[in-house]
Amino acid sequence: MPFVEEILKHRSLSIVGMEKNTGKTECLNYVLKRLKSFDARLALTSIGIDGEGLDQVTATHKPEIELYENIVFVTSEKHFKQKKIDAEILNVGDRYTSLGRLVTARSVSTGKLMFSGPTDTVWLRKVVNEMPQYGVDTTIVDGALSRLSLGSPAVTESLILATGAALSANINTLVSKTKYVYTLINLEKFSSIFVEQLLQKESGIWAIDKNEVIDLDIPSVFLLEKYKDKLFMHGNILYVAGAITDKILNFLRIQKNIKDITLVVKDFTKIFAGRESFNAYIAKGGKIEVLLRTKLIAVCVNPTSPEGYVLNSADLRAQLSESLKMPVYDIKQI
Amino acid sequence: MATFGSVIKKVNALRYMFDQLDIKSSLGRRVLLAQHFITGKKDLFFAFESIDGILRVLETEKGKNILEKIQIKLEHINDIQGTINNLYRENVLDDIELFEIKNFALIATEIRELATLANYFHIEIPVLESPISILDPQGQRVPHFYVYDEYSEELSSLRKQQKSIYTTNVEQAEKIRLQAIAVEDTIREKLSRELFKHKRDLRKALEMVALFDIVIAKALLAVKYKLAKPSIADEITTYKSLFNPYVQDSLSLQSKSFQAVDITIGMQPLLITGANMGGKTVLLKSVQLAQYMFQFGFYIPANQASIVPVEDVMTSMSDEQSELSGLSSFASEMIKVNEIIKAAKAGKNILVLIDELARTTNPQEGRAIVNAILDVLASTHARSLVTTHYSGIQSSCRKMRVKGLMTEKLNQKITTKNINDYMDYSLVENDSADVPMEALAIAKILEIDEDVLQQAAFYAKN
Repeated sequence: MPFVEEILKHRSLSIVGMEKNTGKTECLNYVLKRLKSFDARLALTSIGIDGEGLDQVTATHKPEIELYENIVFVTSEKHFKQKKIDAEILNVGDRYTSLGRLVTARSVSTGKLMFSGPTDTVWLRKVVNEMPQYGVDTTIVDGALSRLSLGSPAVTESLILATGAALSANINTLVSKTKYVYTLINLEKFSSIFVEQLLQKESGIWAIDKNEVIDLDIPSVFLLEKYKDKLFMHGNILYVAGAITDKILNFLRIQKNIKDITLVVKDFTKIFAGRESFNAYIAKGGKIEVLLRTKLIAVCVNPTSPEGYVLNSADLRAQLSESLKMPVYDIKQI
Repeated sequence: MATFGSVIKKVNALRYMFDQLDIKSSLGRRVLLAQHFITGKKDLFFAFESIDGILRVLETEKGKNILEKIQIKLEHINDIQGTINNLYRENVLDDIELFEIKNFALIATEIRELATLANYFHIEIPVLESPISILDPQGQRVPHFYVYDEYSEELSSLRKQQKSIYTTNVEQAEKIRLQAIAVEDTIREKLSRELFKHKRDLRKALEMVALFDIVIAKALLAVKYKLAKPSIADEITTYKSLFNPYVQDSLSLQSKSFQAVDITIGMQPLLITGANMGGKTVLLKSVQLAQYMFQFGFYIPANQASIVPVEDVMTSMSDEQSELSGLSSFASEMIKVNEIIKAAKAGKNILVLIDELARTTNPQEGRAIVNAILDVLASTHARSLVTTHYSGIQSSCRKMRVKGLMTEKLNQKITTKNINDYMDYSLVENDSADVPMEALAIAKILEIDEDVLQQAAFYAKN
């Protein structure tokens, strides 16, 4: 299995599902099982989704992950207490999520547990960076591609994308939807001395010229039209700290200077705009770049939809692989 | 009684001191914010001696190194008050709580050992070897925890069995797992019972570790600002070169310096007069800050300080936010001053600080009010400091004035930017009831309209 070795070249990996039931958990369990024979020192955590109500909905769906001995993991107090595995506690943090503080522990038996983790990107980055002190080489993040999550999987060095019939029962649709996410993941990295500075911005629209980062003082991206005069006062490179919507791309697309515009976003998960507006924006010559870029290691497919509909695994893999120009795996077929 | 946390909400200069404190643990911060105003001489004495001890440790290179190590340990302390409360309630602790106790006890012990190495004995962390050994059956002294195999042979063999059939017989494995959990629960119960015997030591250790954090931070603050160890006085409060770090730091940002002031405060009310811009308000705030720092067990921003502890500090200052909205500034001032008078007449030993009393009413009645309040305060146990612009105060209080503009330099070019250099903020005895006539000189420096100045000079003469 080639991509498993690839994983160990990176300090961190997230596994992200394009939709529920696209086989992310199977993919994660598969990766863990394979890595066992490599005797790799691993840590595992997840991106938490904050908020009580949400949790009650998703908690029932949250699948358990099977761990073997000697894996470091980070999960919330609530899920730690529900674990079905013996584990030695290494640390208890002092920040709270809605499911309690984060517990870092090392498994001392084989067993299962549920994962929840840091609720924002900065915190996730911190947790990932702490792992080497427990002798960890590679940290795996159970990611979510959700607008509801403040934590982005893009903080990890590498990424595995899980897609499948749950996304669409039509192979063509499935392929084009997956291809779009693939395109976003592979957006160019914005190269500038201001990257770290920009990462600290939590909101607003900023212009980046040769010497500095300038706050354009535009209260909301929804008011772009009203502040049109301000927008390009400091050049054509703009950083939007929040989400990129259809509206923004459509607005920029019709500007005279579209060919010179570079739109910078934190990472690919911040692009909420649909395929059509994105493609139209790019076709007119607009550019989009990201501050955090992650390397896509593999694409896994699950040909079975939750309703029981099964696509032909070989066809699906062949078409996806043709479109993405990279190998695609069906975990259940390996 | 006021807590440190409640006082810093209204006294900016004290808030500033808190911000400058390098407290390492959230435990230390919680304990300091909840600390009460100290009135007992014994407690005050202990507070200053414990800082003094740290300062002596800091004198040697070895001591400095040890304190740095202690501060690193303090950064890893979690506030386990909730867990200790659960222990007191005789609850069965879960793995996370047992981990917290073990982790805390190990770090507290390391701090204890480092303190011994530095010969520092003012704060004594209890010996926690028993709770540690309860939670460390492997004797490894690492801050990790789970219900180890070593606790029970039965548990150990159940776990082995479960492991051997985990993949082959899932159902049976699950059954054995449940048996193992039942054994773990009895072990947790037993551990909690054993730890219960050491609950007092653990709580004491938590308090002492917090105190350690606070005292080290206070000592480092004393070094940073050259604060003085105060002596505890019975009758008269004396400051030599009293300063205000909050004002001093903001002045130094503008490359200006702060002039420290000598002052004594006894039982007789002290009335301070002086020119505008003469630093009267800053003086009152410095006295207020020093008294609070003293009674929260800090060293004092002065070269020397000998301070009488009071039960409370009560103030009326112009920039205080009025809680009595809807009233005129005069009315809200009077109501506030009346509360002070009430407390003073009730025999309370308080420090009273009133800035420009009755300033917002007509001078004739204003003067009368100042006289009356000084008379009443003189008959109580309150120690008071009152500033005024009014001349002709007859009340038999001590009177001092700010020296003010250095008249010998008045021919030089004075502006609002450098006026600081031409002001002498020190206090001199002032037997006459007159106040210095400097308002017009200051107005001139401020470049107020020439016609106004001429007319005013004319009226002042006649």
